[in-house]
This record gives sequence, structure tokens and C-alpha cells, in this order.
Amino acid sequence: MLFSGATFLYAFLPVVLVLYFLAPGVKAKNYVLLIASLVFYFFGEPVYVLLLVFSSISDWLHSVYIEKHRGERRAKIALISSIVINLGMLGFFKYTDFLIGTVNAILGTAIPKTGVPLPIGISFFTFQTMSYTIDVYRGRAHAQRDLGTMATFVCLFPQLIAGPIVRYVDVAAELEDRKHTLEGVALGIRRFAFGLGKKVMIANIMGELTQIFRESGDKSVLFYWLYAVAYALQIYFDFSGYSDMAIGLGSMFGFKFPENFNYPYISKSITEFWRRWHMTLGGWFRDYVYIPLGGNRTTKWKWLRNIAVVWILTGAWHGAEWNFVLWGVMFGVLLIVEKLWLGKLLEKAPAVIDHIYVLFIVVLSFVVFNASGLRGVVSDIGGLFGAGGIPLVSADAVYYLRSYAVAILAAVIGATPIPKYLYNKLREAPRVALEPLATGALLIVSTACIINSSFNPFLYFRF
Amino acid sequence: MKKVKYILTVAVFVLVIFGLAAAGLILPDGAASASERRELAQMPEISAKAVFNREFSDKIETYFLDQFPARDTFRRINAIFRFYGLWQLDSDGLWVHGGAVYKSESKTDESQISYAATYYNSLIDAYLKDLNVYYTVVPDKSYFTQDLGYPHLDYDRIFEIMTTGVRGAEYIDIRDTLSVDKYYRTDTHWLQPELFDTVKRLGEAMGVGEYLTPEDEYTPHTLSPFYGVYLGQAALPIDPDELTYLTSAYTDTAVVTGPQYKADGIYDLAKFEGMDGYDVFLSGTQPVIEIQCPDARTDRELYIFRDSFGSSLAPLFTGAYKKITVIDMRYVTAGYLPNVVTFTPGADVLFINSTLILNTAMIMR
Repeated sequence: MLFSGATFLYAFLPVVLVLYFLAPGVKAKNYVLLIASLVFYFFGEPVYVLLLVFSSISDWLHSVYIEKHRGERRAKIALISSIVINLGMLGFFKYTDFLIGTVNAILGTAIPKTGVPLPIGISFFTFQTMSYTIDVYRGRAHAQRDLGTMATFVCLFPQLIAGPIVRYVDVAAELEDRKHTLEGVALGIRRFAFGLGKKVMIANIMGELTQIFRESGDKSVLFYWLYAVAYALQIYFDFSGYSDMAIGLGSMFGFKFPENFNYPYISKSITEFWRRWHMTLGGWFRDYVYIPLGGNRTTKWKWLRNIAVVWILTGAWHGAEWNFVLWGVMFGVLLIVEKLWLGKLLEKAPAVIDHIYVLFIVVLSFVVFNASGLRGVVSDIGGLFGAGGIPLVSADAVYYLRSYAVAILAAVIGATPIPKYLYNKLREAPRVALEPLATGALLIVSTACIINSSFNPFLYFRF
Repeated sequence: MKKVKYILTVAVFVLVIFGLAAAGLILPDGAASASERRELAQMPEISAKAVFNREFSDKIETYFLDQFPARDTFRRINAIFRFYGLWQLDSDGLWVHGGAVYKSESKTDESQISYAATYYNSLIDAYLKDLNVYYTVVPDKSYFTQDLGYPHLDYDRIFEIMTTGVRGAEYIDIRDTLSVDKYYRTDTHWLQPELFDTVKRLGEAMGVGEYLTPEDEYTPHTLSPFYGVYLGQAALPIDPDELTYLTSAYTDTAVVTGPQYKADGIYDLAKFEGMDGYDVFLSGTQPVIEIQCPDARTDRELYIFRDSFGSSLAPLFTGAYKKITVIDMRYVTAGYLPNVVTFTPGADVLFINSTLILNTAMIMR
């Protein structure tokens, strides 16, 4: 079920909201959320919902055991057991066929692939549950004694399948006791409507353009660049729109989820970009991989190794293909280069140069990201620079540039803080109805786009 | 002030989400969409198998989208957002110029065109060797707007493949008898009252030019409103067309029969209220139809292998041919043809398909 689908918006959500606000007390509300979340996941993954239940029970048992034996060797063994189970699930479902394919390619063997489909959102919920048991082991969180509450945290549908990666400590207090205020609901609605608009009014339209490019037989350098820009915009509005919807839904249900994006495309360095893009994933790797490895408080070589490990893992987390690993490595190298010498140059350079540098790298990186394997990377990056003798300009490229120019311009402006600034002005306006009306208009136009749309994927589902 | 704003925000949300959800529950499900000319998805049946293979979840989403309250209004909002909000040149490949709606078919599939040529040849070799075979290609209306910059088929290549690929048949070029104003504004088809030049070109090439019914012997009849196929797809606030059909002494006395033909006469007026108003002509989708023209000025026979463009063209030959057999190879296979049609040696044959059909020719079997 997609947040931007008619089934979710006009059947699932209204029913859940009614049941939720009718339920007395936090415990009952938690159970409404748990059942709703299981139905939500069951709708898309009828069999794998058992995996979610297993993950909840497993981490609940492990965390209770860890807390009971805190300071003992047994706690460490339980922690390792929990991590092995979580990584084992992720490894089996996500990387088995990737490894088989790689072995076959290297050794010329013909080991059959398992063909096991990837459970939706597994990368997100395994990371959430791992952070939970690690935090319990470190003493940063108390083990949740109530299995229902624990399962509510693991399965919570607003952030279950595409983040943000919510850590247990972020919502532990709210799981036990939370307030439902008119302000929280209203701001949640507003945030949700904005996210929905970003998804269906911008990301999907950019997605159409990337699909048109893929299907066109009239490629040119201009068309490759048009595609690259459109995809960079699509992935930002798709993912950040989803995060906005998740945060908005969380707010309606009384939770405060962490922010996941902070205008990454206005960054002046790649280091800054990664402080603004998928912030909960970056924070997860920082706290659970980079710092435990020693972070930057170690020798230079170990520091470089730590960065390399984090970025190879970040790449692989995004997908079981070599182009994702390459994508991660590329950012790892760039971050090292920036930390060693380029960062100082960027600080001295005019801001416009910094922005051009970041946008150029980011646009290229997403071409790598969206390519079909390493061959696709070579083909697509080559296309951007005219490889293969393709023309500079083609009729299709000119037509679609004209057709999508306003949408691209709107998306580019939308990726900056300008809309927020304008919206804040609107909020300050004396006409109290303007903001609610704008929210309603967003919902109506988004619904219109959904009703007419056959193109409505969520890119981050595959992670 | 803030509290009022929050109350209003929640009220708007409840009104939109809960209001539309409730409307969807209360309003009866529709069977078909007149504007989109298609049947609408119905509530899928729930079974363990359908749920576990995710068929149910896919179908229920389609059901919700199809049965959404005020669906046409929302589609119109979307079209207005695309065309006038984002200034897109097209929406789902549909675009508007001079009050007419067009569809961009940008991907020319040469293998399909070549298949069409080979397919014609196979029919000629199998059944039509002793007949006078002619063929023509109907350009879709985007042919006449190529210079506007919208994506379009590679017409030069289509005509080249067809004119060099078909053997044993004479090609009749009708392109210069047509222009964009001879097509409906909101539909893909041509206007029957604007076909006299085309019919004359074809008739003269087939040697029946002098027997064609003169233009002044026809009486036009108008049906309104005619919502062309593109109008519903575009969902834009554009006026519908009027559909005009022509009758003459020859069409009035024509007797039309066919295995699936139920209409009484050459025009099936009841079809105007159906999914596609253009089905008025020869009752739309029909595999084989025989038109007996007792008052025709010749005893000659004509076989027309056609798509829907041929449906409105065939009645204009009723004065010149005693018998016209209209065959749509999308609905009858080549191997089965002798079971439903007996070809008379010496008769005329006309292959007439549009560029749109030729670009998807493999539907002809």
C-alpha cells in the first residue's frame, strides 16, 4: 500500500484515524496502530508479515535478556545473536542472489539464484531493530517489557517501509505516554499534504520524464542531461516527500519522528550534502559503525578505513548491485578528498562554484545510482558526455525540455528554502483561512494527480 | 488565531479525506466510463489465493481509482494542472492545437509496418491472385501537424516501407486529398462528409470513378454531442464534436449482413449512445460484413480490408458496387477467412488501414 494510493488515502487512513481516536488510552491506541500496521504490511507483503512479527519477537526477547544480564558476557552474546539474526535476514533476502550472481560472473559457474523477492522495507526495519538492541546493550535505552509496545515500534506503519529510520530512543517515551493535541494533528496534516504534493505533483512527473527518456529511441547528450537532472529531482522529491508524509502521520498519532532531509541541494560541499540527505541513515552509520570503529579519533589510516567502510556499506545498503557499491565508494572517496584538501579550497571559493560542484557531482552520482548495473553506469555516464557518437541535441530532447521546463523549474525552486519562506509569509497573513485552504487545495490537486496517474512508484521501496 | 487555523486545517482534511471516502461508500459503482470509453473495474472478489498472490491488493487499488467519486472532475483538474499549471505541451501524449486534440504516437515500430506489408502479401498470395488488388494508407491527423514540433510517427518511413514492401497490388496515394480539418477535432477519425476527394481518388484508381454517387445526392444527418476518443482521454474542457453521416438512395436501399451484424441498415444509430459514437458507421467492430447494393450502377464487387476508417468510407461506394464485403483482419484470422468470405475472381480489393493500425499491425493475424 502506498501513502499516495487511493486505497491508503481514502480507505485505510480514514478507518485507522477513526479507530485510533476512538480507542481509550495509549495502550489501546498502540494496539490499533499495531494491528493497522500489520494490515498495512500484509496488504503489500502477505507472507513476509511473519518476518516482521518474528523480528519484533526476536528483538524483544533479546533486549529483555540483554537488560537482565547487563554487564555480563551473556548480554554481549545476546547482542551478537540479535545482530546476526537481523543482518542474516537482510543478507539472505537482499544479498544472496547478488553474491551468487557475482560468483557466477567471476568464476564462470552457473549456481542458480534463489529468486526470493525482497521484503518491502527490510533495510529500514532491520536497522531500526538493530539500533534498539544495541542501545539497550549500551544502556541508552531500557528494554521494552511489553511485547505489544515493542511490536508497535517495529511495525509502526508511517515509517515502516521507507523511513525515516526511527530509533527506539526517539519514540520510547511517546510509546508509553503521548499527548494528542489539535496543533499536533493540524501540523501533521499540513506536513502530510506537503509530502503528498511533493510526491505526486513533482516526483511522479519527473519520473515520467525519466521513463520517457528510457523508452526514447532518439537519445542525445541534451536528453541524457535532461534525464540526469529529472532523476535527481525525482529521487529527492520522492524520498523527502515520503519522509514528510511519514513525519506528518507520526505527528497526527502523537509521535515526533526525526527529520530526514534539510534542503540537500543547497549544500556547498559533499560533506554538507550528506549532513542534509537521508539524515537518519547517516546518523545510524555514524553512531553504530563509524564511531565504534574509532571515528576520526584514531590514526589517519584507520580514519580513512572507517570512512571507506561506512561508505561501502552505505552504497550496499541502497541496493544489491555493483553500481550502488560504486555509488557509495564514489562518495567515500569524495568525502576523504574534501576532508584532506578540497574542503579548504571550497571554503575559499565563491559560493556559486561550491554549488555547481555539489550539483554536478550529485547529478552524476544519481545517474550511477539509477543505472542498470555497471554496464549501465558506463552507458549512462558515457551518454552524458557524448560517448557512442550520439548527437548533442535531438528532436525528442528539445520537445521534452520544452514540455517539462516549468515542472523542472518548479522542482528546482521547490528544492530550495524559497517555498518554505513563502509559506511562512502566508502563515503570517492575517487571513486565517489561507493556510488551511492551501492545504486543502494541495490535497485536491494531489488526489487529481493520483486518480489520473498510472505512474506511482516509491523509489525507496526497493531498499 | 492559531487555534482557529488548526481547527480549519483539520476540518478541511476531514472534509476532503472523509468526505470523499464516504462518497465512495455511498455512491453506487459505475459500470463504464463514457468519457474514457472503457469499462470500470469492479470490486474484486476476495479469496485466500488472490490475497496471498497480491492480486487482490493490485485490483482493489484499480477499483478505488476507477470508482473514485467525481472521477471525471478530478481527471479534469489533473489535466488543467498539467496544461495550464505546468505548461506541459502534452499530458499522457495528448495535446491541443487550434481547439483540436491530438495524440503523439512517437515510437515508429518498423517491424510492425514491415509485418503489415508482409501480411498483405500473404493474403494476396493466398486468396487474391485473380482479383484487382489496391491498397492505400490513411495518415492519422498528426501527419498534418508534423511541423508543430510534437512527437509524431516517422511517416516517411511508414509510407516507404508500405510502398516498397507490398507486392501484387497497386498503391493509391490519398494523402493530398486529406487535410487536418477533414478529421474530427476530438477524435482520431476522419469526417465522412469530407471524404469525397478521397473516394474520388480511390474510385478512379479502381475504375469506378464515373459510378460514384455525386456529392449533391447525399443528405447529411447530424448526431450531437460526439465525444471523440481523445476528448475523454485528455479530460480538458473542450467542446465535443458533431458526428455527421451521409445517406443517399444507395445507402438507404443497401442490405447489410454479417455474422455479428445486428443493425438494420448501413448506419447503426443505436451505437451513438454507446462507448464509441463512431460505431454508428457499419456498427463498429465487425469481423466481416456484406453490403448488398441492389440499385448500384455496376455489377462489380469490392472487398475492403479495413480498420475503423474504412467503416465510414465503405458507404460512399454503395452506388458503384453491387456488393461490398468489409473485412477487419483484427477480428478474423487469415486462415479462417475462406470460411466466411468467398472471393469472386475479377473483383476489386482495397486494403485500407491507418498509420496507427499499421504501427501495431501484429494484431492482424
